[in-house]
This record gives sequence, structure tokens and C-alpha cells, in this order.
Amino acid sequence: MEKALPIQCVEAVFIAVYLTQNASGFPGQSVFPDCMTRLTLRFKSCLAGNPRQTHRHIVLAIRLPEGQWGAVGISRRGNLQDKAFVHASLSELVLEYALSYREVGHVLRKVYVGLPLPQGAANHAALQWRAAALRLPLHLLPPAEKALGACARPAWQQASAALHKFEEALPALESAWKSRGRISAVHRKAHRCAVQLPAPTAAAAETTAPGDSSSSDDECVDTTSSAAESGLHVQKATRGEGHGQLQLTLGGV
Amino acid sequence: MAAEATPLNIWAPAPCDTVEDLQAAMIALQAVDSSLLLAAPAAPTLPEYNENATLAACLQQVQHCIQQMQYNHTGEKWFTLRKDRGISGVLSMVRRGQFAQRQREHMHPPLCRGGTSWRKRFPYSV
Repeated sequence: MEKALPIQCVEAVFIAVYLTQNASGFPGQSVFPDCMTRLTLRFKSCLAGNPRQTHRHIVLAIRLPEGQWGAVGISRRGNLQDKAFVHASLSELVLEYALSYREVGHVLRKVYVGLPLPQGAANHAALQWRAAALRLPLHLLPPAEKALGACARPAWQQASAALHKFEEALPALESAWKSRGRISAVHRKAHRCAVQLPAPTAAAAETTAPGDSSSSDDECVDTTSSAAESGLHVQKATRGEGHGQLQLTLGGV
Repeated sequence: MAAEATPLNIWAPAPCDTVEDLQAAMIALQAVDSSLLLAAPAAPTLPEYNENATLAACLQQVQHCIQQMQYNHTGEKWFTLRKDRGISGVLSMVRRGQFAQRQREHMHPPLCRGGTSWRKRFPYSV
């Protein structure tokens, strides 16, 4: 902190972790309680007119002890950096970012959620930056040139359900990660789900670039076994069908 | 009529093939260093948390401190951060301020070599 050097999003996350660490010798000592949850939110977005051109971003999401979610970070776009601590859930926060991406002409495709960062300075265990991966369909939200209307939140409900499920499982996942250093297959299977969304409308399909379906990160998983746990309409996903699907998978170690 | 000297573009420097080219590059570099426009920005101030302030207000101070650093629009990756390190490694990396050293390492070689990937050797004596 001796010089003002320009930073990007990942460095901003590191600085935010440093400034909010509740440990001896740190600026946030005895200011931030241990029950304040801090986890990383990584975004992968693409241009609305060119799904092949992808961009990545990361912020530090924080849940206050009272339950409000917000985020700190830095971006060249003002609406993609920090978010006020007024969101009731993690899914509300991610929806806020999805709408912000829409405003700048991007489509949010993937969200990676990390496990909560531990408090205390003497912890040498590796951090889990990718505890869950939420893949969003290309046409989940209407394009920026069209009015958002009242359809955004209903369309988001399934993503919200998946993220809410992950949020509920956070303590168990964190405990498993601390004790074993990995997320067990049982947890991975229990929280993996995929939801088949309605096919995009003709108008929305026009904005899709040809050959888009061969995106390299369209890895899909067999999710049939998780139908009972997720409570959602689950179908077996196959490679190349990713644009209509919403998936939440627990990332491997 | 003597041809006018072409100003040196430090952002896309030409290869320094001769001593004159190198001297001109050094003069241009010194001019940039002494320019008022490129005065070093003030170092960010660490947040001073008020005990009576709410957590949201304290986090607002954190965000303000981050924004003081300003976004790196250069496209150059100055910092080497290892995300596979534990929380103690991450924190010590930020605390020690290794960022400045990495920046100096990256700044000079491209300018001195004129942005080329090869080197030309020639005899020189004073």
C-alpha cells in the first residue's frame, strides 16, 4: 500500500480480503466478525452479438451477519464492481450482476462461486475458488435493446433456486473442505442439478451467432441421479445442448 | 532544408539500432519521467474503521480504498498472483507489496530493447 499502482479485478479481491481479515495485525482486526461470510464470485460473460468472445471478472461477495449480501471489487464499468449490501440472498446478488452485464451489452454465461474464505492469518490450506459452477442459458434474460419487463424475475427463479440450494449447503461444504481438503462425491451429487428451460423465441434466436453451440466450456453432466434432491425438472444433458440449460455443478478440486 | 526530427513514440518505440537512437530514447524517457502529467498518484490511504460505524459503512471504506488504486486499463499484467496459495500466502503477498517490484521488472526491458525480441550486437567504446 505504499504506492498507488493500477489494479484489476483479481488484485482488488486480494486487497479486499486483506482489508476485511479479522486477524491480529490486520486493518480489520476486531472490526469484522468471524460470522461475516466472504466468498469469491467469478463471472464469465460473452458479448450479446458474439457469444464466442468471452470475458471474465471476479468480485468478493460478502454476507453480513444480518443476512444482507453485497460485493466489493473493481471494474472498468461502474455497475460491475461493488454492490450495495441490500440483497436478501446470493441469487439476488448474482441477478443484479446479470442485469448489469445486460446493461453493458454482455450476457452472463457462467458464475463460479467459491467457498467462504477463512478468518485468521495462520491458515495454509488451499482456497476453494470454484465450489460451484452455475451455467446460465444464453437467452435467460431478454437482450438489452428490449424492455426487461416483468419476465426477468420469473425466468431467474430456477437459477435462484439452484443458488439458494447451494447457499444452504455452504456450511456442510465448508466443513467437508476443511476436514478433507476436497468436496466429497456425495455432496457433489446432492447439489448438482440441471434445468431445461423453454427454447428461445425466434426473435431471440436471431441474435445468436452461427456455430455458437460448439462452445468449448459446454461440458455437461449426467444429472438424472440428482432429481429427487433438487426438486427441479431435471433432464439428462448432452454435449451441445447447453444453450437452453441452466446447470449448477459442484466444481472438482 | 533539413528534415524535421520525428518525435519518438514511446508507446510504440522503434528498434534502437544505433547509439543515437538509444540516446534519443533515453531523452524521451527522461522527458516522460519529468512530465507533470505523469506525476505519481497519491498512495491510497488505508481505511480507518470507526468502532461505532456499521459493517456496511466499513465495507464502503474498503471499496473506496480499492477504487483509489484505479483500474489498470493498460492491458499489461503487472502482478503475478498465485491463487493456489492459502489465505496466509495471499495476505502476506498483499502485505509485502510485491506488486511494485513486478512493475519495475516489466517496465524497462521493452523500452530498452525497442519492443523487439532480438538483439543486435555492435562494438562501442568511449
